[in-house]
Amino acid sequence: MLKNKQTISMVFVKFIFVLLLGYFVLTTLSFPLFYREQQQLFLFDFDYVKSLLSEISGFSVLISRFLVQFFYNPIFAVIITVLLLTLVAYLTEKILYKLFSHLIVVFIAMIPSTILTVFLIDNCFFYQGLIAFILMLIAFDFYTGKISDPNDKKFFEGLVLILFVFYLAGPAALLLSVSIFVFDSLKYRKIFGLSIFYPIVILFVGWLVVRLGIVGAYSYIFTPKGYYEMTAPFSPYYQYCWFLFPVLLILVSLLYFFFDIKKLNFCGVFMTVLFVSITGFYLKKFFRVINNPTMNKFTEYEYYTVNEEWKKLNHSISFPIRNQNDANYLNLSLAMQGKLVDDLFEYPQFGPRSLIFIPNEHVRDERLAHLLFSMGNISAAQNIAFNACLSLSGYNPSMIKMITQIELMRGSYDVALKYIELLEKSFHYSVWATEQRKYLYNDALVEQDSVLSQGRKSFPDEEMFVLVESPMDDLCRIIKTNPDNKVAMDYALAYLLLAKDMNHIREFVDRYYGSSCLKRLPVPIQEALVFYSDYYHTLTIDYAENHGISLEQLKYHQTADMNYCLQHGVEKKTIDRFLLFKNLYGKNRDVSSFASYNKTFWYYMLFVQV
Amino acid sequence: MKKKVWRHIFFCLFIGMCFSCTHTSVSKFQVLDEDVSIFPDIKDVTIPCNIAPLNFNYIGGETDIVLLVKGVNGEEQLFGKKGIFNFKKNHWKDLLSENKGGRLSLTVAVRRNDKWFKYNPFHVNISPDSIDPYISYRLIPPGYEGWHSMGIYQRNLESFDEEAIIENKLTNYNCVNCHSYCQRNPNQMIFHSRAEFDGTVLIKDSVLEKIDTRTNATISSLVYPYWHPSGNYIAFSVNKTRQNFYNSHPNRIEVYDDASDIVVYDINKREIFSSDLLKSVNAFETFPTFSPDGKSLFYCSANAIDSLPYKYKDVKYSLCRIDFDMDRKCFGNHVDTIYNAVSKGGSVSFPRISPDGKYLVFTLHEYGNFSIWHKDADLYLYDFSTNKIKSMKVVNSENVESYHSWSDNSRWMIFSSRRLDGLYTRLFITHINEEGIASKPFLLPQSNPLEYYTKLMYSYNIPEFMLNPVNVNKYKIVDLLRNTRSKKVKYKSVK
Repeated sequence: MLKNKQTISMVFVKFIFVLLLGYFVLTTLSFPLFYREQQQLFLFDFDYVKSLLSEISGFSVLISRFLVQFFYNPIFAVIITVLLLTLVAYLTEKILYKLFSHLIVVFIAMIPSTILTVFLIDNCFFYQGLIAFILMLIAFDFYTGKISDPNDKKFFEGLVLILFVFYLAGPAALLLSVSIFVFDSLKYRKIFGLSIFYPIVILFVGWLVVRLGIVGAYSYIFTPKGYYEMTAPFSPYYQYCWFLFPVLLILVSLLYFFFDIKKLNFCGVFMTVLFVSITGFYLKKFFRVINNPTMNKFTEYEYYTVNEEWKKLNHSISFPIRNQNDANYLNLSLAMQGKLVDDLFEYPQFGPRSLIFIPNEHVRDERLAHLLFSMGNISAAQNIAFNACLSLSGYNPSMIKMITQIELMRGSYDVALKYIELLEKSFHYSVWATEQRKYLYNDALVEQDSVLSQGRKSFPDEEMFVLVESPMDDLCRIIKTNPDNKVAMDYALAYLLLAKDMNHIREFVDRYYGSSCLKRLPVPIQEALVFYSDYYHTLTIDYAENHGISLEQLKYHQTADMNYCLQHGVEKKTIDRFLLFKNLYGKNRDVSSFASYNKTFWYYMLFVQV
Repeated sequence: MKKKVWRHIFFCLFIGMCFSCTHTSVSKFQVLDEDVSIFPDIKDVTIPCNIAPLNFNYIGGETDIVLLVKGVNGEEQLFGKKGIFNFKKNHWKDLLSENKGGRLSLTVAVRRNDKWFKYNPFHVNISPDSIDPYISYRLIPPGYEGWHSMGIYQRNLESFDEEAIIENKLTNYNCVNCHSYCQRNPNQMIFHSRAEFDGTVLIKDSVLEKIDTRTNATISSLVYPYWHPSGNYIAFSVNKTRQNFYNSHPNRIEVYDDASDIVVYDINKREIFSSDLLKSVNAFETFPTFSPDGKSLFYCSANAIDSLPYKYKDVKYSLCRIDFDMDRKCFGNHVDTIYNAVSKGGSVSFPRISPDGKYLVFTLHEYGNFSIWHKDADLYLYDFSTNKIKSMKVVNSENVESYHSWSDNSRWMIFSSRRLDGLYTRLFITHINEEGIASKPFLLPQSNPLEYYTKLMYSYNIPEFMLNPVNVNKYKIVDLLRNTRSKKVKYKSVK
């Protein structure tokens, strides 16, 4: 009866653990897991599989890439990951039970899967590491079940097993061999004296692998660094956590040796709680080190962008806006919904960088590729997308899709075909890729497609390099060639508004008002035009000359009077509101008094520092 | 009894399998007056007598295909499988040796509705001139700024075997580039490593050295190399290279220097020296090449332009020559202009002289120096005996032809071209006879060319012939790059 009760309570504990794990993965990892899918392209191709299997640890790469390809859907990602982490807990528990079959082991068995969950927060830790750990546990379970018999000397079978794991999973083999040695030692097996050779053999084989130039450094073949992005800094926490597994074996054995198996006394419970607490404490510290909220948010933005869920992207933006990443995706969502200019000042803006931030080194920047592509700067998008498509573990599928479309826009059909054939070998992107085949060598069809034709028309007539000066120069050339590109026009107007560049807003209105993509003046542009008109009409000639404005220029600016404004799409109510604003500004310049105007261009112009 | 029955069944199955794996030769054909569509185009190409099997793919829907191979020893039939004609290595070797100096006549036939139809035959000329057995190249995605994996590889031209000399996955995905050999000798090799674990790796007779080539007197680390035939010096350019992306131009990208000079590195003294004529502030000098006798240095030079990138089209490189005295480590005091880009138009890059000293092949394009991104870039041949320059029309295509190198016997040239799809650089080999006349080039052979080149997402870069394979253990190179401090080079002023 008591045993039944204990079993039920342990099942309940395990259930709660899985539930908590699921909750954590769902709330914290679902989008980062999706982003892992964007870092690879699994191919159903014999040569691809063969090339992976020809490498040490390639099997674990193969399995992980196979699973990660389904992470295009975050729900699948969460389900698969939780199942694997549960498998880790189950196998650990099974192994630890062989040392000490007490229910307390259940709690200790949860430690490795918790650690691996934290590992997965870091995008630079490959999913392969989780698979390798599972392979290690399966091998260990097999060893302790089939090979390890306290009276048996199956040394060579164990040797074959660890070498096999070395081939399948790489660095996990050293962990396995050390764990086996610890296990055999704790179990006083006859083989114990020989088990010491397992880590020695792995060390020797690893040494050989490095000396043959197959792997670049020992750390990549013996430690979890082998499952970590080479170009990123590697925290030593990974090492401590990774090699915690043999420590768990020792802990469980200590519990077995020092405490009564039937009724684990207070010291035993205390020891377990202490150990779990210390591990939890360090794990929390580790979590803080590797958790990157900006990166996590970015993965969420990327998910909505890749799936073109613009409203959800808009709703996902975290406020207050913390960085250009937030601002760029926010404005992208507005642009793609056709309300960038209208709703621009509904949200906080901090200058043109809120629209597009271009870092000095723009490599692997999916955000920038999406922005440039949407604003019609196709060549620049191609440059950035190509860099971004060379991802950590192969090809970024969304970037490959983008460059495929760009090659179709360019009419480079042979190159487009190459990418189509590549994507056709994937599971999730093959249908899309096959659909693109109809555009190959068919200019007429390309010109009928809304995205492809818009892109093709947006290659500027005026030859110049992209992103040499400001993005606005590129936008001007794009619009000059293709004034029908509404998104480009919106971006250009928004850029001018955020740059407080009223002179060019006037030029844009002069040139494009009434055309298909500027039939109606958005309210912020109306506000800017009224402000412009009023500003130049209140300038004295002396002031203008002192500020580098010639008399001729002033005269030109003053041609835009209120009549001009009305004739160019400014509504009467905008002028009336401006007069109220101006009146208030004349009396009081305290920002707090202008709260009701905080969503206007005038407020941005006068009170927001760029 | 039962056993006997089973034995008979297995025997019959075995015999059946044997028959299903063999083809009976076809005797009756109907003639199609059509040229066959194949990949790669090997019609009327000239190949070396020691090249790997020239497998090719039939581009058509038929699955039953046969190749009629006619040589001096009569005609034989080779059945294709899955659209590919795959020559067995030994059989191919025999074909080449039997028909050396002659030609093979190849006719593709296909079966349609139980009848066999023959396309028009085509020919492959087998030159008695052998080709260097190895080439090396870098494989890199044809990206614009970033990269992930890349490596320098060597390929046996007599088979399909390829192996890595160095791959950047061993050195944290840094950049490896500009591999170069002294007169095709792999025991004297150099290449650069950039970003993490940077330095220049010099391999001389199995001794490895990592050098830091930055000096206060030069504008950058050493860049484009060319070995002096003595093996004691390497000429380098030093370049401040920039790149920009076009907004609509089909060339896509412009890579240019806004400063460059030429220097020579003395391997034994670990010293760099130059001449005022090669380090002029009024000119961009680049792509140095020693003549086979080592007495001349050829290079490209353009008038310096200060408004780059805006005036990028004004940068035109001429082909120049200056004397070099190896013993006195000095240069001549005047420069000859072999091809004057200002008066003749175009811009020169990659001058390469045949080892017999008779010809110089260079790349000519409208402007600039990074020809791999210039669709108009073509190869031109300069004949030293007549001082005449001619376009290598049979070699050039409507797309890019760029980097090239000569075989040891001066009869073969390997060059990079983007003619297949306009972006991914592939290697072609052409025969150049004693009179400097080139033959139609052929694509670097592969076991299954169509599948291989379709799947290959890398560009070939800097193809160089080699007399033997590089035999340095990768670990030695990796260990050198990762764990060894670079030796500093000095700059020595000379008059």
